[in-house]
Amino acid sequence: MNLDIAAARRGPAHPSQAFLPTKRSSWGPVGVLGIICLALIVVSPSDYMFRIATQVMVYSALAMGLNVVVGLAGLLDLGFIAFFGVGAYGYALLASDLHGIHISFWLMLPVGMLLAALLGILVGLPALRTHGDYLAIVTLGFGEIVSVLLVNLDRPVNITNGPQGVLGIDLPSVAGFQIGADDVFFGGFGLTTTMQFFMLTALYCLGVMFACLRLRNARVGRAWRAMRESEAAANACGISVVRAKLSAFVFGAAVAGGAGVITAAWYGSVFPDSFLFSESIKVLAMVVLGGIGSVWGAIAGALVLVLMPELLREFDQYRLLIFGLVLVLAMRLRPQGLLGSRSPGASRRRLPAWLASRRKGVR
Amino acid sequence: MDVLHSLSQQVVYGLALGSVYAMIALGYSMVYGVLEFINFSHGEVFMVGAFVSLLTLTALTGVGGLLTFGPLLLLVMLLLAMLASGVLGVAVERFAYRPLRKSSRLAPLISAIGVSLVLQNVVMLLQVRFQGDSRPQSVPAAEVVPIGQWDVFGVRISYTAALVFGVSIVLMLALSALVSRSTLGRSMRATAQDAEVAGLMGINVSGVVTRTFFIGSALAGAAGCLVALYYTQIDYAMGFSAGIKAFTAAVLGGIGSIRGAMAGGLVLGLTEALAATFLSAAYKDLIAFVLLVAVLALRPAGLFGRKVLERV
Amino acid sequence: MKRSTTADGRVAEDLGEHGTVHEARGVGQEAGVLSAEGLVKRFGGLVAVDGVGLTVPRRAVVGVIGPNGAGKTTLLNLLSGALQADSGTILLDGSDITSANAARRAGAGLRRTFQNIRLFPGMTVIENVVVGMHVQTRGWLTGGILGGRRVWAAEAAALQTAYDVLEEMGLADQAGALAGSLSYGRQRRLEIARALASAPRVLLLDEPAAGLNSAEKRQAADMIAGLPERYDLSVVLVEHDMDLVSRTCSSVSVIDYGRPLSDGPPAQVLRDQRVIDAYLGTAVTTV
Repeated sequence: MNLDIAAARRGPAHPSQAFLPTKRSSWGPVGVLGIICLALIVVSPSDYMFRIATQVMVYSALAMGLNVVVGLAGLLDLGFIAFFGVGAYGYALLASDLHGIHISFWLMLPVGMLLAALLGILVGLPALRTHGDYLAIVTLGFGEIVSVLLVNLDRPVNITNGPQGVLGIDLPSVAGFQIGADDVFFGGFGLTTTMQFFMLTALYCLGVMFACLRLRNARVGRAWRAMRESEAAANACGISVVRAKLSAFVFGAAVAGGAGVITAAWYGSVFPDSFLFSESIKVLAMVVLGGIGSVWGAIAGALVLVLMPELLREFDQYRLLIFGLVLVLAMRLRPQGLLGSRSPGASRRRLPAWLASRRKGVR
Repeated sequence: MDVLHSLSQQVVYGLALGSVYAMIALGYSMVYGVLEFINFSHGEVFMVGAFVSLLTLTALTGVGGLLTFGPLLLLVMLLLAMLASGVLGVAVERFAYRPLRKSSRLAPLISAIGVSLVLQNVVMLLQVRFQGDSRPQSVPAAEVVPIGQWDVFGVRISYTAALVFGVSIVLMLALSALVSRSTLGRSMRATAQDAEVAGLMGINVSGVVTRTFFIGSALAGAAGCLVALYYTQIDYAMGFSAGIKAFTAAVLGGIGSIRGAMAGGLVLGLTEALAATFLSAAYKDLIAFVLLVAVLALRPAGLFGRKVLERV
Repeated sequence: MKRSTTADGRVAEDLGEHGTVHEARGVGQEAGVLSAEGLVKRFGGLVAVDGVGLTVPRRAVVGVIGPNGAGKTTLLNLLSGALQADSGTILLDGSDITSANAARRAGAGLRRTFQNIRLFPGMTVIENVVVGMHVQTRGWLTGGILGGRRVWAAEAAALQTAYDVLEEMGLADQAGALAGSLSYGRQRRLEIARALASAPRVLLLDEPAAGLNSAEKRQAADMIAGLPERYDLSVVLVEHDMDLVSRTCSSVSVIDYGRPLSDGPPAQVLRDQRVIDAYLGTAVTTV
């Protein structure tokens, strides 16, 4: 086909340009989140607040990554945390005293993402043949396999150090300065170790956000959404569903892998029970609660689900009970999520589902 | 000879375990068949069944010993566990799933996860309230089934293993007959095919859903009762892994299919038992999931399921 | 026959004097743009398509008709790659595409629509069309994140072509609306627009007039008849509606019970006694 690009450039704007989303929707939201993060650093609340904020950043990145898989590509992944675990353990094993290997954080960040992406392909392969809930159970199975391996790979050869986990993981360093080693002061302005990690995590989260916003409206994002709505029609448009599915898994996995590397460096230790099914569910709940398919929704979901247990700390025992009730009620009152975007396959009704079904009479 | 012996011993163990998985799997399968929805809180309903059995047992054999006749004790425990679980399942459906029936597929899933958390924590909090801690509870199973075993060609079949297997087979055959013969079964199958058309044909779809939940949950309650007697120890978190395993079993057999769920449960139970002996107990779960992934990669719709593709 | 060209100048050559579509065939295309031979498809014991062949000349509209359940849609699925044939060969522009999957065939310029419309209802109208231009756009994961001159240029150009096609199909006013919110007739047109924007060689239309009222049907007939010259493509039209077929097609193949029954110009085929028998005479009344 002969596309006259030069003609598209010159002259008055073609009416189609009103629909050009490529550059419009990525920098703005990233800037907004960046300013929020900067404001937080300037205000510099307590270390406790920064720990929570860092957690929000980690979970936001995870939720945005999962949102690509579940929200855009429509592939229900119930073992997502495995990719996070692979990144975290990848760094822990190759940058600690356990095996006496100390590879640089900055090298391990892409390597961890790559490892997770490879696992993503492995999970994606059976996914090509399975559909819907079968796919969900395959991903769940993979997630369980990874968590069983993390616990049990201390015998016969000690690889993961089993249930004891890995301690003393290296800190990242930039030009001789170790991030998270000491508090730093610039005149009257101090950067505690927690704040340093907050900045690192926030940068990663901003990068992920930028990528997700770009991808959504790029060719691959369109292919994902098209595939989610009708595989047959996507095929008929020349989209290789195989490639689209695999790349959704690969992208989501890589995002989680990178988050894993950063988290391992932040905590300085990893334990196998941080990567259980319940964590996968937590991230999925963030995606759904926030509004499936929406990047801001994923962030909002992460914020709410990280903050809620913290706010409920006083009711310690009742924390999970209340968490459960909130999930149920949230789905009843707002099944499309807090910031549900209009386009995904979620509810297309204006009325809340329960109200609508009341009116028509529950069938 | 030794290998063969321990093999047959594991088959006994695997059949007992597998029949429990099968009973829980039936609930997943039936609900999925009718609503196309993974009822994630089903494992918790099973757990509640186990606790209700324990409560019943404690109450009946407690002060003065109201009831000491084993078989009758068992019957009362089973019935109460099934009733409690059945009612709980129906209540959960009413409150947490029905309002979401017409929204996206994920909303009821998240809601189910919420229910799961609620049920686990309610049981845990009750345990703490009445007992001071939330440690696993031991079940005085000997009050119901005497400790002992038959020796069949050197293979030990404990009374409880036989009981678990026997009761679950009877219950599952009863269910099978119900679904294939009765009007309720017919409306269930019709609803599973196409709920909308079934509704137009005058079938009370909500009623069918309610009864499906009741039957599925009652079976899970029975499984809870049997597990309590077989393992003699129960805890508030037991529903989770049993739930995942049973779900795996349902998928192995082809979700939505009743016979498939039974077969899937037995296959999974046997595989786990054999893997635990011949490989390593630690990798028991791993084997189960590897099997699952392998089966689904080779037969994407499960062992007995039919392939579902987008029609063009 | 004269037609104005679009903004991107895609239809540069004018057909001019060519009398019939058959004369418009290029050199070395005697076998037709799309040709299929001996296609067989079995579903268990049922032979849905049994030895059907089809030759589609360049810039022709070829109809495939037959009673309900004759295997028309199965044939179309075999051609588009949605189903793989058990035996037989399919050539597109002389190259064998028999073993290619649906996506590859679509990429090679063989596009289709669906009997029960398959849009991406949650995406905007213009996005639907741009998805149809998947092969013309650039970039994947890295290209999608980082962008770049090449990627954006292709995006802008695709968007522009998409908009122009929408304009021609009378859908531009709703370019930003969700595809699912369009009226039924407009959804049908959007589905065709989605296929057209990629400049296909062959367009397979599966009952494009189903569910349209008579005014819309006439409009659709005019539009379909004009497609080959306007977009330099060939059309395979699977239809029930005899009126539409005789208005648009230069030749018609009739299949019944999965087997070829008759073919030739519409007027001749519709007089064929075997065809009339197959339709129990209903065909005649609509001609």
